[in-house]
Order: sequence, then C-alpha cells, then structure tokens
Amino acid sequence: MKRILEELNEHGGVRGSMVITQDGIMVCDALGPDLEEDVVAALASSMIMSMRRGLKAMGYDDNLCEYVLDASDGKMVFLDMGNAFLVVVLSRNIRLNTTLVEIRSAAYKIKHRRVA
Amino acid sequence: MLAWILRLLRGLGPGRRDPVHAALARYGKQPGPRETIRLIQAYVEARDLTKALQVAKAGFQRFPRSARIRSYYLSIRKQKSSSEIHALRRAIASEPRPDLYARLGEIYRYLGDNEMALETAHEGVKQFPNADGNYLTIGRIHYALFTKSRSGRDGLRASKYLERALEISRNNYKTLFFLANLYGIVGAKGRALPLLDRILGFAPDDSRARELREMVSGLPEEPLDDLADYFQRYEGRQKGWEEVKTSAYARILEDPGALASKLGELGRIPGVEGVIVLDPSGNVLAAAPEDGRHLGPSLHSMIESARRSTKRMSIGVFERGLVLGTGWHAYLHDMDSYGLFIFGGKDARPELVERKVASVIHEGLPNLELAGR
Repeated sequence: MKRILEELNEHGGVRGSMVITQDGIMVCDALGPDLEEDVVAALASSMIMSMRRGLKAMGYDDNLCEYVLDASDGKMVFLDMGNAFLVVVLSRNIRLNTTLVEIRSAAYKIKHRRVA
Repeated sequence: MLAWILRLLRGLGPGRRDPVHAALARYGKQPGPRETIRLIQAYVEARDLTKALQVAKAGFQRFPRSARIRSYYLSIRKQKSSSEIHALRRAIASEPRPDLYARLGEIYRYLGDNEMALETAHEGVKQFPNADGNYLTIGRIHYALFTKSRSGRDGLRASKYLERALEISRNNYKTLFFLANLYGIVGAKGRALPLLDRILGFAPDDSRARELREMVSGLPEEPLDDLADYFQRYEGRQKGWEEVKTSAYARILEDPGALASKLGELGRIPGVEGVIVLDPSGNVLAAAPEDGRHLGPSLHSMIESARRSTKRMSIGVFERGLVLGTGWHAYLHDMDSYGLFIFGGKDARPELVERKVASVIHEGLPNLELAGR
C-alpha cells in the first residue's frame, strides 16, 4: 500500500497521500515533510464526518464517493474506497482532471490489493 | 487608470486587425468583466502579450472576484516570465549561484506558484545557507499566507525566515520592512520599531517606513514575553472577531432583492434541486426551495470544518468544494465567510455549475473598496 501511495506522490503537484478508515484511523501514509500525519488524519476524518452528517440532513445517502476541496494554496481529494478513504493533498496549480485519473487508479489498486 | 489604458491601447500599430479593434471598441463602451475577457483574448490571439497583460492586470484590480480574469492574468504573467525562467534554470544547472536561486524563487512567487517558489528557495538555502535572498523569498511567501490565513503558525514561519535573512544581511530594506510590518500586524510594537528605525537610519526620506513607523507607534502597549505569544494572541483575536466584514459579497448577499435574483438564476441550472446561502454566523439568508432552511446548522458545520482544516493543513483559505455521491452532487463555495451551497442530481454538471456561479456571483462584483476611494 505504501508503494502505491509513493508512486502516486511522484506525480507532479501531489504533496502527500494517506489511507484512513471510516473512523479516521490512519492505515498508511506517504506525506510530504510539511504535512503532519496525525493532524492530516484527524482533520480529514472530521471533514468526512461533518460532510456525511450534512448530506444525511439534506436527505441524500451519506455515501460520499468523492470530495474535491479547493483552497487558496492547495487542494485535497477524498476518495471512498469502501472501508477506507484515500486522502490526497495537492498543490494549487495542479491539473486536476489528469491527476484525478491517477488518484482513482491508485484507489483501485489499493482496494483490490487489500481484497487480495 | 481606465483612461490611461485606453490611451495606451489606441496606439495600435498598422498590423492590427478587426478582432482587437472590435474588442477594444466594446471595452471602451462598457469595460465589464466579459468585455475585459474578450479584449484579453483578442490580444492573446494577436500575440501581443504585453497589452494582454496590461488589460488583465487592470481587470484583476477592478474585478478581483472574477476567476476567469484572474486565471488569464496569472497565465499570461507566466508565459511572459517563461523565457527568464528557462534561462535561470540553465544557469543554475551549469553554475549555481545563490542570487540565481533567489531570482528564480522570486519569479515563481510573483507568478503565484508558491510551491515552486518554496522548492527553489529551499534548494537555494540548502546549497548556500549563508546567502540571505532565499530566506527572504521563503519568508515573504509565509508572510503572504499569514495575511490570508491569519494563522499564527504561518506568521511564526514567516518571522523565522525573515529573521534569518536579517542575521545575514542587516540592512536589507525588504527584509526589514516585511518583518516590521509582520510584527506591527500582531502588535509586537517593541520589535517592529527598531527595525523601522534602522531603515530610517540609512534611508531617512523613505515615506513607506515613516508611515509604517507612525502607525506602529500608535499601537497600544501590550507587550508579551515570547514572540510565539504575539501570533497566538493575534490568531485568537481574529477568531473572536464579531464584526461582519464589509465586503463586496456582503453588499449583494445582504440585499434581499439582489440575492433572490441570483438564487433564481442558480436554481435554473439544469439538475439543481436546491440553493442555500448562509451568512458568516451560519444563519440562512436565503433558501430555494424555502423548506431547505432547516439545513442551515448542518451546512454551517460542513463549511466550518472545511475552513478549519484547510487553514491547519496550511493549504490556505477554503474556497470551494465539490462532493459527488451516488446520483447526486453538492457544491460548497466560500464567499468572504458567507457560504453558498448548491445541490442536485447527477445532471447538475460540475463545469456548468462552476461557470454559472462565476458569472452570477463572482463576476460583476466590483471591488467596492477601490470604488469608494
């Protein structure tokens, strides 16, 4: 799993990636030197939970397939892999469309690797 | 400023063709965001990047919320700087020098590419730890992040690198000025004043330093022991700030008539099922349909979580989010602490929603602060 994350990180603009469970427990991480694992895991978990509560209140199912977040100096992508989330931190100027393909591919590899 | 641009642009050479002339005529009649974008495009197609950049820069100042104008401005700036970037990279590869790293880092910083600027400057620090230029670049980037995020962490990082730059070069004007400004912002009066006095020692007629010194001198005496405490106090005060900012968004969003009209336009996007606007405190300003009002607290919690997280992860200020579920989409937008939520089925295509939000909400919102001057 770590190798898959490290391969993903080699793509330009990816600052780090991690896999966390639905409860926010970190399974595996490959984060850049400016990202603290515990902080990213806790914040990612908090965002996923508050998002799910909001969606349920709106009457949608809380199956969050994908969440892309834009900030002034970076982006984050959360991808639901069933029992866990792939969380990727990106730089601001990345081409998201092509990078999303790589992220989804990494999620697929992790999910099927885990099942195997 | 506009008259100056029109005079400059009317000096068109003999080779100019209709597209530029037509776009200029439209721009002259009504220099709104659309006309600005068309003029930029016309100049780009005519390969006149200099004029395209001038129009884009002026457009960015007049319509700072226009994502498209901002995008053109940054892209053209980047194109114009690309030859210097290539030359610097070649020079660094053949004979690295600290000033080359510093110049390259500065160009990336100017272009808004903080990641490349930091990567270049950190490499410069690693290769040449006793040269001040790269510390200054890193410090300036964290300073800019701090002014947006108001996070004590960003401010402390800025001070660390600027102080290091100052240790190496005691009388660098930029380092002294930025550091003094930073300390002034957080109320560290006793630290800011000596830096400004140093500037005035070698540049007694410098009006910027004089004005800043006057402002800092007027600050209340609230000394703290540790530098980190100043940034912590500042961050705490920002969080407790009750006063609603007077922003361009506030003027529109607090006007029921204007808000209803904009919500109506957004609600007509194919696939959109609901639109909700929250004020900075999380109260529902408007909802379409009306029975969506009860969602206010949940939506406020979602957007607040995103705002906190982006700040703490040092990826800046939260701007927007897109959530895809099984058969539905949800969009979150931050507009100067107001929140806009749009949700709908999978027919609510992301690119269409973004375009509509940009044209309905962001564009056409002039910088009211500039207009008031």
